[in-house]
Amino acid sequence: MREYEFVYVIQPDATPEREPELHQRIDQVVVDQSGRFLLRDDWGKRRLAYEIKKFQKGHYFQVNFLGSGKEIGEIERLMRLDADILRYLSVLANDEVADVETRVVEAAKQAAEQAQRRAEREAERAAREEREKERERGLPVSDDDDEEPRFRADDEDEE
Amino acid sequence: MVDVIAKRPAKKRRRAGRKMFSRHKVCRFCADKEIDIDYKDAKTLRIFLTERCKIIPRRISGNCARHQRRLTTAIKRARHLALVPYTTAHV
Repeated sequence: MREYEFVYVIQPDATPEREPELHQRIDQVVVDQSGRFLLRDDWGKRRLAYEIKKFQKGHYFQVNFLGSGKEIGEIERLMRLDADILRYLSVLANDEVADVETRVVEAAKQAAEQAQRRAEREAERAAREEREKERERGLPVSDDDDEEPRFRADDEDEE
Repeated sequence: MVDVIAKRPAKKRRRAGRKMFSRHKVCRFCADKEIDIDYKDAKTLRIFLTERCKIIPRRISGNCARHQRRLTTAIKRARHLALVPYTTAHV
């Protein structure tokens, strides 16, 4: 069997039900063609390098699966038809996976690692936001103190 | 053979009063087997783009042919997914 890596970008304002629905559709194709699902990674909402359909951000997902190759056509067709999909890319990750079961186990491990890393990133971001908020709370007072005398000085100069 | 070819321009250049840069360039991916070329890794790909987001040619980056080939496909994949820009924003 071959291993495929499929990345897709969902528009950021999609209704909450849309995302699981799209995941489910892709998985369904894999199952229908007697492939094996390996893992799904949520990269989160990222800033796009350029605007797509007027969107600045996109929700990135990556899915890995084993299959014969027939799945790709069908999945890509689904992606093309869906207006909420901004971009998709399918890549052949491994041409010949000899031992399917070990790969499945491995992928499960990989998925767990990714989930952990994601949680860490999330925690880090929350901490950073917290710090920023605190700084914002602290800053306005000092900012005003600095700027006010300078403005007054400017006014005097003009007059 | 190689020595002769390498030395001659060096002499000429010196006479012209210019410095000759003969920094030995090594392919980064050959030197460090740990980093693999991945279209998902936008940060690494960015190193090989100019400020205008063009792909830096092999003669400048010093990449070997094999890795440069892999790098360009990776960059093009990343561009399609909007992980890396095609060009800078034009206003």
